[in-house]
Amino acid sequence: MVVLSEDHSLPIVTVLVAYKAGSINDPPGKWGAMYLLQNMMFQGSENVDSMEHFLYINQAGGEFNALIFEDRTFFYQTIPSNYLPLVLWLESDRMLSLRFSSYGFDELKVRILENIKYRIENQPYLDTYFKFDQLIFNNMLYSHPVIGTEEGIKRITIEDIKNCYYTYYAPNNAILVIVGDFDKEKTIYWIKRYFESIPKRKVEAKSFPPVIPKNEIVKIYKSAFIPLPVIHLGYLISQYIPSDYYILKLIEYLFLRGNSSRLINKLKEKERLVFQLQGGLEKKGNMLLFKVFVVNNNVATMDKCLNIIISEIDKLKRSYISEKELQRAKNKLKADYYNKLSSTLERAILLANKIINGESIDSFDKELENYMKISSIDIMRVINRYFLSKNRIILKVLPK
Amino acid sequence: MKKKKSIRKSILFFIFLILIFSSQSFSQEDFRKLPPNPEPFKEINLPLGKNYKLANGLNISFYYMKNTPMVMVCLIVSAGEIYSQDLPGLATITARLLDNGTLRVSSERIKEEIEFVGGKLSIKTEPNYSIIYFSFLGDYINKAFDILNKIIVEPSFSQKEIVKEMRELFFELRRRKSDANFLGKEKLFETLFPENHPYHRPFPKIDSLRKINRKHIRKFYETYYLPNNSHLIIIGDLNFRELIRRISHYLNIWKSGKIPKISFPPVKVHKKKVIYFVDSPTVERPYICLGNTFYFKNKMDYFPLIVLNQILGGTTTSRLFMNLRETKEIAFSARSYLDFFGNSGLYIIEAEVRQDAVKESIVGCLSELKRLRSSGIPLLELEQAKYYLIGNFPVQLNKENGLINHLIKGFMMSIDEKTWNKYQHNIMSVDQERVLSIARKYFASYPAIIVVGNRKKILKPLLDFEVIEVYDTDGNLKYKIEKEMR
Repeated sequence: MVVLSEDHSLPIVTVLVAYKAGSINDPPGKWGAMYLLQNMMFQGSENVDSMEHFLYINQAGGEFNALIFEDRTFFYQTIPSNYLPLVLWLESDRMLSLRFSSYGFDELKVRILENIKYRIENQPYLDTYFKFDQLIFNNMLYSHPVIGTEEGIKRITIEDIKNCYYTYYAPNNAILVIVGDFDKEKTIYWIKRYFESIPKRKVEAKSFPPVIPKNEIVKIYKSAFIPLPVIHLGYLISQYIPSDYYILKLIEYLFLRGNSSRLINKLKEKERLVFQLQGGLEKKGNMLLFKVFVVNNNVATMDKCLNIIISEIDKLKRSYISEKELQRAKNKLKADYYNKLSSTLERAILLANKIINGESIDSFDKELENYMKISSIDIMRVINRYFLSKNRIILKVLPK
Repeated sequence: MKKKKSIRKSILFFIFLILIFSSQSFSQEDFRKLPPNPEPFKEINLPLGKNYKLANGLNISFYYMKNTPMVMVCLIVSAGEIYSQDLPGLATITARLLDNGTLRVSSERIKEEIEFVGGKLSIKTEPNYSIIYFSFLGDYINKAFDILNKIIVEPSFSQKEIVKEMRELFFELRRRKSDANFLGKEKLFETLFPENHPYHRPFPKIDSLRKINRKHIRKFYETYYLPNNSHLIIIGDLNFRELIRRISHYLNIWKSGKIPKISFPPVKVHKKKVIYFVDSPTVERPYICLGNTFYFKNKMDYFPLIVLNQILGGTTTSRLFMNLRETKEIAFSARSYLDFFGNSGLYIIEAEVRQDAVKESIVGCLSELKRLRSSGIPLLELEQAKYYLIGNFPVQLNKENGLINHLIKGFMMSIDEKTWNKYQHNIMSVDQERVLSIARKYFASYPAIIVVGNRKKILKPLLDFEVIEVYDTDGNLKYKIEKEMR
């Protein structure tokens, strides 16, 4: 699939290739295979040597990178628009004929293992996120780090990477998004030239398995790695009315976006109970997860903090939010949306995500309207419908 | 206020989908073997600014951007750290307190108001300037200027807010004590600029922060936060006359004043062959930085200078990275950059290196500096550096605050707008002869060399250098080792 979005305000273009595969496509036990493949994509292909992709983009003054998530991987570059055919050539070459050198593969494994070690040392709370996902899915496939685990990376062979590449990095499992300054006709010519003859492959779609929550889950465990206690709290929304997505997103702004949002204002500014507070609405396949992550100042105030979060959410089940507060959340969301649209890269990522999520890409204006028409009655209805104790999951992690 | 046009029109929004699934069998086609040639280069036409001066002396530059729903405002005040004089940190703490409330409106309320207009406000303090960035939804322009008025004209600097902000700054500064990069920069400035020079300590200091009180802050604010000491840059889809009328309404009450004249002692180019070693036992990856000052009178030298920097260490294809990281594999990162302060400037080379290769890395950096001065730049390398800068220019403009940062840089460099707007053209006209003469002019003297790391692990191989001065992380000289003493 190809998505083109013209914007001639600057002579640049962002080319993004999104593959509908991420860490949930790792072969069981070989956690990190898809991340390793993402890195192999810079090691050369039939007509592009190792490092050449990087040199071509850099010499044109462009910038590039890749991002991997649980169910998708993005490769992108922003370059002066006169180099658009070059980028299409580069992307098509690695989609068609990636090179698998064992030297590059071994070197990558060493680098990734170093990276994993670095992350464990420098991001002490990261592991708690996967422990939380395990509470939901009870399966490592859906709850391991995208970058992989030490044991997983060690088990991966070059054959595993080839299998992943030939299974998932196929044109019929990819979306090509081009945003910026280009000539439509010429661009279609170049796309057809480089991508049309790449053979499609049989792709097995993988997504998160549906989970129907029945009772509240509360777990506590101790970790030797964390300096301060943490709370993960989530509401798992396994089925929802599609239009409620917009209301849930706005609820994220009411509670968690900006210093005057309800939870940040209460826990961070007023009560000063937390050292760190973040969260938001996450998409897990066809489900949604509204998540709050808190690093507490100390163990003694953890329960107070948890009670405040739950009672702040429950407050909106009984009382309407003021028009002013609602408007503030809408305005913040609107400004964030416009800021995203002002960069070609952010716009390309937004479009790719929308297509993978199965959302409409008709018009950004229309989408904003969906948010702007939300009323305080909608907020109350949605909170009462989805924020129930039976679909609440709580994980408390205490330092050992 | 004119209602915003559809964003669909503004970005020529046009999306269509093509399904290109194909089931053809594949064999290598000839057209895949070589990359396509680039199409003709497109030059950028930046919007020209409209200027206006309010009766109170505030200079305003406005840049019209069609169909942008957001407005970007930036106030540059000549109230940077160099004006803190004997109280380093005074400028930083004053700037950080600006949005923490007025006599009538609390800090919390101001933050709520900013969020209500879809606003994002950030304040940073540099050596020369304090800069307030404020973006907001164009629909709320009156409310936004009212907020700006509260921040600039009516800050109360309450004791409660001072205590809160000081505590946060203390934590930040304490964290920086284990940041090798910060420790290195701090030492570099202390080394390159004499004690009586304001650039000697352009960063806040924990000790002096303790001495700062409300009176100091108030006085600093009253002395430097003046309309005739500031410049306002605005970008948006606005009518200029209407905009000036609004700004006058909200900011004309901002009273002008007499700006004290501070004369700085002249900058001397560093010539000593000394290693300044900052002993930080917690640093795992040693950090080295080499730098020196230069006089910068001819503003047109800026363009060959940035081309030269690009060749030396501007990106990951530049000489330092390719030599130290890719070829010798002794550094994790290596780059160079330039800083400009009025009529003087600074070049800095920095690298994070392997513990067993500190000496080799320093020698590598010194030889790259020598190579720049002694032999000419090959034409192909020069052209590649220029192409990178020209191509990367619009890529940077496309980022958040890209245009405003470019405009701020032009303002700070005191380069006239017409020349600044021809950025790509000016880069293009740099030739081999010019770049060599610039290398000899600006990179002539031996640089100050700073090393930050664990003395017990990395100092020994450095004893081959003439003089080593070992400092603690607070900047105190612990001892000095000279070659003849060894």
